[in-house]
Amino acid sequence: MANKPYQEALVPGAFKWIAGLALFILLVPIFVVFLAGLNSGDFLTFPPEGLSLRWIKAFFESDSYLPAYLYSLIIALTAMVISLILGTLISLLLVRSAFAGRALLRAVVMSPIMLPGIVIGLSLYLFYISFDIGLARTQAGLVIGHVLVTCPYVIGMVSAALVGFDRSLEEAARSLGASRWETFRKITIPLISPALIAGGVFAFIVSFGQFDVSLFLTPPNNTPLPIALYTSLRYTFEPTAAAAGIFAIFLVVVSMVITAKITNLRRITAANYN
Amino acid sequence: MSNVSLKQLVKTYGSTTAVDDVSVDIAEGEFFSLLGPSGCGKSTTLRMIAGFESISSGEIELDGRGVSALPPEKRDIGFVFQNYAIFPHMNVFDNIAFGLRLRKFPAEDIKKRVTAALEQVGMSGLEARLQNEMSGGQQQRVALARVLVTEPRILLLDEPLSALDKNLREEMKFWIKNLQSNLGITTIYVTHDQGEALTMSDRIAVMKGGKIAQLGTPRDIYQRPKDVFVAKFIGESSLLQGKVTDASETGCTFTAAGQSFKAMMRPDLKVGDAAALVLRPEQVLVSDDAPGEDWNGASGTVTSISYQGATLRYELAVGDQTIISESAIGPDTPELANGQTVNVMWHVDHAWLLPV
Repeated sequence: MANKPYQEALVPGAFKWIAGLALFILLVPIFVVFLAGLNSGDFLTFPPEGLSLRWIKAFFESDSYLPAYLYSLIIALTAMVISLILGTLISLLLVRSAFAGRALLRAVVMSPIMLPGIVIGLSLYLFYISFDIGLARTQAGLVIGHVLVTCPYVIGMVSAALVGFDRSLEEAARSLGASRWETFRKITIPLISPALIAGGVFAFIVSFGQFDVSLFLTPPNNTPLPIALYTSLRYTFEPTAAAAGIFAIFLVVVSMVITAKITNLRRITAANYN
Repeated sequence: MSNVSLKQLVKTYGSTTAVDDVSVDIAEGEFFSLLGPSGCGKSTTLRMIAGFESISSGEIELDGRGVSALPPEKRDIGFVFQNYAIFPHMNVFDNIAFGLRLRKFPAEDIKKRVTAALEQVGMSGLEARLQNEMSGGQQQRVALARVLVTEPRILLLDEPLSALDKNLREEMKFWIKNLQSNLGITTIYVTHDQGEALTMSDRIAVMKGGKIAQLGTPRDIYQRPKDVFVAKFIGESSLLQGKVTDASETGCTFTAAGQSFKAMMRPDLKVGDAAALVLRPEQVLVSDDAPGEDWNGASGTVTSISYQGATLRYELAVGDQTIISESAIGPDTPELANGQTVNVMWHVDHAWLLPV
């Protein structure tokens, strides 16, 4: 009988088992929420009593969940756009200029992802009311809070892209007749766009699911989804919350898929350029 | 009128001086090389001409016009980088069209010019290639086409061949030189490779420590090096250490290793000065015969023989010093053995002294 040739495994078997287990533990809650949202019973229970779309319908008819969902969407998009612009500018400053206190500035702008969100929310709230600058419990005040925690993701991604950036590409563009702005627009931005897309998606997801920072900053007339879920579950234990959860998960999955498609598409269009 | 004029150019970074008082006039259509070891300031000089580095003092004139206040895009120069700097998110066509589109050329004109440029560099039909689908040599050609299509006044090349493998480097050397002389474009070429500089240049500035050590034609620099640094940097040479013992109008007598030789005199030397005689390996002959008129001969011992394919290389002990000889292998090449005593000969015209 022929012997099987010896082949070193690329990934040890134990690692595969650990990874599989971790993935399972991470995905089970999502699966539970999904089924709970399709429950036909009256209460948020698992396993579901039967499958139905009644709570999905309830989500669309609800006067708290759907507006909260849309409000979160608007806040997340706003926070994402502001984070992208601000984060790119800060990254350029941090990576491309040398000044005293650069390391300190970097630590300061990155600190919101290390601080507990509740502390940021509370400090901002106290700041707004004690200086009475008209931002307490307003949409602008909430967006500022979100940008504080989403911006570091953009800064992290874009800085990494800029550190590895070949400056001679920009110099080549300059010597071919491009101004600083044309060079930035035609060379720098396209080449760091994967980092911009990744940073933007992170910012969006972090803002959309943000509970801690929103807790003290939410305006009275509008509520972001996580806060709305929390508030309503305190009083009623309806599966509508799980149905809203399905749509939240759906949005995250969609944004991930779109990102993957865009980056793939860029590769394809680059190959058939012109 | 000279095309490029560097006037007392200085670049300092903090307390270090990268370029120290460099003045050169480069003529229209000239192929000019800046040659030197790394850190000699050659690349910094080129980058100052391009406008990528600010100048600390002095002035750069292109066509008699001071340009040190102009940004790179206003200088009308073409710059080719060591790593080619092909835009990775654009294909070959768009890379070459980049400068033309900025200049708002009409689309059909762009197409015509890009096609012509690709033909010029022998890359026709590769318009759709991306940077990562091309070899170093192809990227090099695209980088040149991208620059030449904008018809710059001056071409600046920063070690464009150093990332290529040896065979391709040899081929590209002649190709670039031909392209340059056909176009007649003023070219400044930065390299650390003396072979490239000698083959391609009309004139070479050898740089050391931010200063120009010697400025001259390749022939001047190879045969009449100004000092030991230049002699050692350009080509291989044996230095015979000795002393000027007598001088006349036509030449001088140089004594080394207990023997006297005829050599050319230079104005910065006088009788009694210590000096070194530069001998290029190919100018040193080894023979059993006595030296003829206008030839110097020294008695030496063969200490090492190595076969190089086209040439034979001998190391010869003359007194306590070593002379290297390299000669083409021909039908009457004498067979020498280690330890054999021979006559080591060189012509008076090749007896060039250096101050030490």
